[in-house]
Amino acid sequence: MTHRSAASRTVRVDQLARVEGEGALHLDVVDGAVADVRLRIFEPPRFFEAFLRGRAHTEPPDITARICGICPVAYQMSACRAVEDACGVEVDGTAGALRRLLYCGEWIESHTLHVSMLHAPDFMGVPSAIELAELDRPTVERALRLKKAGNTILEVVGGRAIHPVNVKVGGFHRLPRPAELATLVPVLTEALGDAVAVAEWVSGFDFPDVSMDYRFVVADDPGHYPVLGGGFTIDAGSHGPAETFGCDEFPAEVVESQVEHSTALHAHLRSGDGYLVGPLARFAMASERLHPTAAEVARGIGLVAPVDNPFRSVMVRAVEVVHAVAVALEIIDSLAPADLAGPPSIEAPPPGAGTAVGHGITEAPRGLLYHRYSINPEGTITDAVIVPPTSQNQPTIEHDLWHVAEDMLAEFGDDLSDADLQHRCEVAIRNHDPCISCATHFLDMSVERRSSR
Amino acid sequence: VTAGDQTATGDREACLRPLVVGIGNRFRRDDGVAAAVLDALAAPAGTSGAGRTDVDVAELDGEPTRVVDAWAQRQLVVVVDALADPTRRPGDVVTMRAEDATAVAGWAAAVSGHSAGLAEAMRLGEVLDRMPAQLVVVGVVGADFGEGPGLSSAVAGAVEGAAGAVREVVAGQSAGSGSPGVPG
Repeated sequence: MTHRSAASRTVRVDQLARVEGEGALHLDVVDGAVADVRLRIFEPPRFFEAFLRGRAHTEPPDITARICGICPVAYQMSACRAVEDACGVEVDGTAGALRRLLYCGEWIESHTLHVSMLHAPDFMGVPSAIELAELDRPTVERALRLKKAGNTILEVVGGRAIHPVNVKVGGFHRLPRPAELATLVPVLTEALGDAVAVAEWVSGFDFPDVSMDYRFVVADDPGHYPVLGGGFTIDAGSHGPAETFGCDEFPAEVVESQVEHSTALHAHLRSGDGYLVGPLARFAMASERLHPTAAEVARGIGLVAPVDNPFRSVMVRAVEVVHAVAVALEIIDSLAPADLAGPPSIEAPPPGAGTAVGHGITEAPRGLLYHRYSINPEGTITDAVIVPPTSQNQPTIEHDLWHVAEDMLAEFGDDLSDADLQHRCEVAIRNHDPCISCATHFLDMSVERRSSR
Repeated sequence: VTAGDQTATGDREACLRPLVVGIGNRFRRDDGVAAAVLDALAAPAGTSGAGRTDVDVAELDGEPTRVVDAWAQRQLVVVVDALADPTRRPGDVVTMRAEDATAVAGWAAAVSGHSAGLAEAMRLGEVLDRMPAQLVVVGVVGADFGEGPGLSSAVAGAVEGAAGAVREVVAGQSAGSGSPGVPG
C-alpha cells in the first residue's frame, strides 16, 4: 500500500515473507538519504524468563524448547549447560557426543530450510519456495530430503523432531540403541551428497558486491567448529587479537539495553560496538576446524574466511550443513554399542548451599545463544536470563540495512521504486536468518520518504 | 500415537490411518487450541476423550515443509488450527474441506508461528504432489493470541466441540462412505 503527500511517501506491506516470526521495519528517507532505520522485534524469551522463575531447575530444557520451533535443541542445550553449571556438573562422554549429534540434526534442518526454501528464492528471482518448486522441482525435493535427514536425527536422538522430549538436565532420558543409530547412516550418507550439491548450487548465485566491517562473537569450543561453548571469543577486528572469556563473563562483556522501538533488548559489547553472531562469525573465527569434507567444499566453491559480504552467508550456511552431516556420521561411527549401554544421564542435584548462578553458551544455527539461571538450594529458579542470537544481531542488521539502503539510493536516486528498496532490505534481513520470534504474525515494513524543506 | 515417518517409509497401514494435525503454539494463548484438541482426542477411554488408537496425531508449528512431510500420501488428514476471524465469535468451530481453501488462506497465516501458514503448505503440497487424498480443516476462532499458556474461556469451552468435529470427520470415513463427515 502506498500513501503519498507533497513531502512524504509511506509504503506499507502486510508481511515480510520468509522471516521466522514477527517484527517490523521502518525506513526513514530524507532528501534521498537514509535518516533512520528501526527494526522492531517482539521477543518471546522475555516472557519465558518470567515464566521460568519459580520453576524447578529440571524444567528449563522442556520449557525453553517451546521458544522456537525451528531451533528447540539450541534452547535445550544452552538451558542444560547453564543449569548443570549452577549444579556443578559437566556432561561429557557418550551423552556429550549425542548432544553434538542432536545439534547436527538441528543445524541441518534449520539451515536447509533457510538456504533452500527461504533465502534461495531471493537469488532465483521468485517470490517463494512454492514458485521455486514450480521452476525447479528437483532442487526443492533435494532440500526436503536433506531437511528430513536432520529431522531424523532429532527423532532418533531427541525422541521427536519438534520440541524434542528426550533431553534432560544431566544428559538424556534414554540413550538410542545401536540399531537405531545405525538407521541414520544411509540417510546421512545420501544427505552428504545432497548437502555438497546444495553448496555448489548456491555458490552460483549472483551476489551484490557488498563489504561490511563486522566484529564477530562465537562460542569457544576448543578442538571443534563451535557448537557447545565453554566460553566465548570476541573478535577485535582490526584492533588486535581476539579475546576469549568464560561463560560467566558474558554479562560483563555484553550489555543489553532497551530501545524504544523494540520489545527485544539490543545487545552491544562493553565498548558500545555492535557485533555479529552466526555462520559468518563461526566461519571467520573457526574455519580451520571445519570437517575436512566441508573445508574441501568451501575451497571448491571459493569461500575464504573471513566472509564480509552478508549476502554470501547463504554459502557459509550451505558449507555448515556439509559440516554437520559429516560430523554426524563421524559421531555415529565413534559410538560403540558399549557406549550406548551406560546410564543415559548423570545426577544434577541443586546447589548445596546458597543460590548458585549458572551460565550456558551454545551455537544455535543463527548464532550464540546464552542462558543464565539462579537456582536456590531447593532447586527453584529465582532468576532467568536468555540472550538469543537475533537480539544480539539486531543492531548489526540495522547497520546492514542502513548501508544497503544508502547504496541503492545513491545508485538509483529517485528512480528507485519503493518495491525494489523494500525487496533489497528484505533480502538484507534474511541474510542473517533472523528468528524474529517463532511466535506469531508478521514483519510489517514501512518506508517513509520526505523532504527536509 | 504420533505421526512419525510412516508416510515417508511407505507404510501402507499408516497411510490408511487418519492423521490429525494440530497446528499452533501452546505458549501463545488461543494459538494453543489445536494442541488442546489433540490432548482431548488422546485422553484415556472412559473420560471425555476417545482413547483413540485408530488415528495418528501430530502437533506441528505450521512450518509448511513440516506440514507437507507429515501429511504426504495420507488418505485422510484433519488439520486443527486457530482462526483469527473478526466476523465470527471466539470459540466458534468451523469445519471445511480443503476445496474451500480461500477461506483458509485468510486466517491460517495470521496466527501461524511463521510468516507462512496452512495455505502455503497446501500450495507447496500441490506443487510437489504431496497432498493427502482428503483434507479437512477444523478451525476454532480465537480471541487472545498474546504470550502465555492457557486458552481464553470461550476457546477452552470449544475444545470438546472441536474434538467432536474431528471425531465426526474420522467416523464419516470409517463408516465407509468414502467421504469424510463434513457438514455440507
